[in-house]
Parts: sequence; structure tokens; C-alpha cells
Amino acid sequence: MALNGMQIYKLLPRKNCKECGFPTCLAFAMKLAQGGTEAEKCPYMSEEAKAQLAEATAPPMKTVKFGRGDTEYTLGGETVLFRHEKTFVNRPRFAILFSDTMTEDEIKTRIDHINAIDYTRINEEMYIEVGAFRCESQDKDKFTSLIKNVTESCPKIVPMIITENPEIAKAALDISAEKGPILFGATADNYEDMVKLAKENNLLLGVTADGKENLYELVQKIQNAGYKELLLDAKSRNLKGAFDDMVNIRRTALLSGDRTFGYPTAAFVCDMSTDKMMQLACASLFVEKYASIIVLSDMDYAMALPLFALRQNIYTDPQRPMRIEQDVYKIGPADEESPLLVTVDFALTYFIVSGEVERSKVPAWILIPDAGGYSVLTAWAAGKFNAKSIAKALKEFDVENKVKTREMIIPGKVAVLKADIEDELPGWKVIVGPEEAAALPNFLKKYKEQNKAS
Amino acid sequence: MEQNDETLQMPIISPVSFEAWKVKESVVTQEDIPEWGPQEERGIAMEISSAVGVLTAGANAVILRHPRSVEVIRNFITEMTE
Repeated sequence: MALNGMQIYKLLPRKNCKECGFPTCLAFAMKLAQGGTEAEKCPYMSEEAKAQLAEATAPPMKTVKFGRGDTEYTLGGETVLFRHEKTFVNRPRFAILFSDTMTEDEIKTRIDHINAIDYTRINEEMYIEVGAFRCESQDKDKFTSLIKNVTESCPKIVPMIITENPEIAKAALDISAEKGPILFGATADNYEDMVKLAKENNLLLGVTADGKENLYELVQKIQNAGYKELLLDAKSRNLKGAFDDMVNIRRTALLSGDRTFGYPTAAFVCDMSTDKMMQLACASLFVEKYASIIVLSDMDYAMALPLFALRQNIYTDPQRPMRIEQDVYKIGPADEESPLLVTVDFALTYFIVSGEVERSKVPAWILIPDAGGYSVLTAWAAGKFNAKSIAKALKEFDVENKVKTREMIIPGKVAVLKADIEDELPGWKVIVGPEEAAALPNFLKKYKEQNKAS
Repeated sequence: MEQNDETLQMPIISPVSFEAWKVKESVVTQEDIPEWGPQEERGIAMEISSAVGVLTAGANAVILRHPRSVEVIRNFITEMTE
């Protein structure tokens, strides 16, 4: 549990030497309690006191990593149960299940899906990060050749090796250790060997036991064996049970401050239903409710779109409005003959609008005034997106010298601004665009044809 | 308006279908972006995922459009509450 300033003070030498940069030991202790400085700054603290302090000031949930280089991912490190309390920090990663008893066709379909899915939304490129390999044949060679085949076809995925047999795990690691795989399957029976393998290769170790009580005991044993890079699984393979595991494990870590459960968790959605849409429903739940690795039987583009969008929405920081810099942006090879659109500086809006303009293949300019970082209707209601702010941006970014057109396309939702803008900017004509960005491609194509005709 | 405000302590209904079926991910045709696959599937998926989202956040009822989404969400609620 966290210590307060007075408790920390008692651990300090109390000689007021000032070498830490603070006037007194008490001032240093107070700052330390707030997390404003580091214990190492005190040169006279005993080793024992240091260890006690490190334990007390460590975050309640550990941050762990897997993968290597460009495909290294961070899990855990959460500090709140609900996003609105502060923010969630490390998004879950999606895994597709491969088993060494699957047919060639089943494997091929999954490989194709992994290679096809590459979805960019609000400037984030998203794809399937993990290939979960489950050894069901108990045949070492069969298992390793599956891993080889899939990782060669999908170089971007990080393997998750699922087996409870240390010998098979070792064979799988021999061909995949450099990718920083997740080693999944430390149990009460094999944990000594598994910890050794994980330690040697510096890997994230999956810990799996029947039920939370057994899992708790096993994690304690593994911690005592000196390993703390863990991913937990209490083995419920039905929706309600798994939900209960996730919530209880996270609550134990954050509310009770019990670090035995202060690790990220895995959800095996692949075992909860054979219906892909039901798996999508389960995966959506675990994006919100605390899984860090979500294993699905398969994921096609239709499932990927809502899952990636949901994850992005949940794992952005609600304390910081995502704003885009005010400017006039060029979409495609826009020139002085290209049309001009206006929207707000809320990042979500900008990236959706610019994405649709790109899709239309009509090169265009997008003017972004200072609209307070709100969405179109909110900014309009707050008086931030109006004739004045638009006129100001038009002058500031020298739009009249960049384009020949004297027409600007405004979002359909704020059609009421038309007259105001035309009053504020003599010589300009306002065209009311569609209400939804998705209608922009058709709108721009028609707009371009009309302008050609006239 | 504040926490524990009595006027806010009513069941919540969420019109998921109106939102889910108008976003780009559901309205783009397959000719437009072939790699995304059949449009209907995408709409159903968007509707299911959004419904789970609002139900988890505390919605007491959701409005859905597609019979397949209704079937899945009904299953989901049954499994979660049984």
C-alpha cells in the first residue's frame, strides 16, 4: 500500500543534509509521497528502507511488455477502474487463434485476414498484433512448423505460444524467441520450468489456473521464484465467468492495492462461442472491461472495424481534447482551382472529413478555424464555430491567394451559418454540404462536375 | 444537475441502430472499398459492438435494426445475466 509523507519520513536518515536538493528530510518525504521525486536522490537511506519505499511507491498494476523492435507492445499500468476517472493507458491487443490441428484452409483464411486488415482511423494505423498458437496435437514438430509457416507469412505478428508442456514450449521458442513472444501456460505443475524459459528469453509469461483462488496462489509462487513479467488467466471460458474474473482481478489490484493481481489479463473469446458475431460481442465487452490480450478464433474486416474503433475510443485520454492545428490543409494534389471546405479543429471530425475527401479523389482544401476543439454542433452551440472564426482563419491562412474559388462548403449541420458568413465575407458564396461526412465523396464529385459545366 | 440527481435515475434507452448504420464503416459500398467485404456484415458488426458498448456503460434498453443483431445481443444479455 502507498505510504504517506510521515511514514516515508520515518524511513529517512533525518539528518537534513540537503543533498537531495530539499531543505529538510521532511520536505523530501512529502514530495516523495506525491510522486514528485525519486527515492534514489537520498544518498544515506539504508538498503532496507529503499526496498520498502520502492515497494510502497510502485504503481498498483505492473506495466509489462512483449514483442521486439517495431512490434513491441506495452500492457497494463492502469490506475483507474473507469476511463472517466482519469484515463486508460495501454490498449488491449488482438490475437487470432491458430491450432496445430486446424486444416490448411482454416490456417490460410486466418493468414489472409491478418494480412488484409490495415485500418487507419484518426491517424492511427491498426492491424492484428498477435498470432496465438495453441498446441493441441502435442507433437513438437507439427507445432513448430505451424508457427514457422504463419510467422513467415505474417511477419508483423508477435507469437503467443500456448502450451503447458515445457519441452514443446522450448522447441517453439527456439524458432521464435527473437520476436519476443508471449509464453502462455505456466501452471501449478510446470511453473518452475516455464519461469526458467521466460527468464532466459526475457518474455512475458502467461499464468493460468482454475479459478481466481488457485491463480492467486500460483502468482505468489511465481513472484517468489523471482519473476514479475506476467499475464493472468483464471480460466473461465464462458462470458459471465470471464467477465467476473476480469472485473475482480482488476478491482483487487486497484481498489485493494494487492499486487498479486496487479498484472494484465487475457480473455479467450475464441472459447466462449462458435458464432463469430457472438465473439465480436464478447470481444467488445473485454475491450471495455479490462482484458489486455483478446484472443479470437478469427477476425475478418467486418469485425475489425468496430473493434478497432471501440478500442481507439476507449483508450484515448478524455482529459485532452484531440485537436488538430488550425490551418488550411491540402488534400490530394489540390491547386488554386480546387474546392474549399470548412470544418472544425476537433481531431475526430478532421480525420473523418479528410478521409472522405481523400476517398472522393477530388483534390480539395480544408480550412480549419479555431473552433475550441469541439465537434461541429458543439462548437457552433458554444459560439466557437461561426462567421467570425471562419473569416479570421480565412485571412490568417491567406486563403484568398491560395484558391481562385469564392465558394466555401460548410457542414450541413450548420447550414444556419450561411447568411452570417456571406455578410462577414463580401464576395464569398456559401455552399451547404452534406450533414454526414460519409456523403462527401458523392457530393464532391457532383460539385466538381457542376463547376466544370458552368 | 449533479450526482444522485433524482431526475437522472431513470432507465436509459439507447438508439444504437440510428448511429451504427450511418457511420462510414457501415455505409461504404463493397464496390467502393472491396477489401472491407459485404456491407451488410459490417453494419451488423457495428450495431452489435456499439450495443455491447452502451449496455456495458449502463443502458437498460437498446434499439436495434437487424434481426441478426437482435439475436446476438439477446444471447449476450441472457449469458451475462443468467
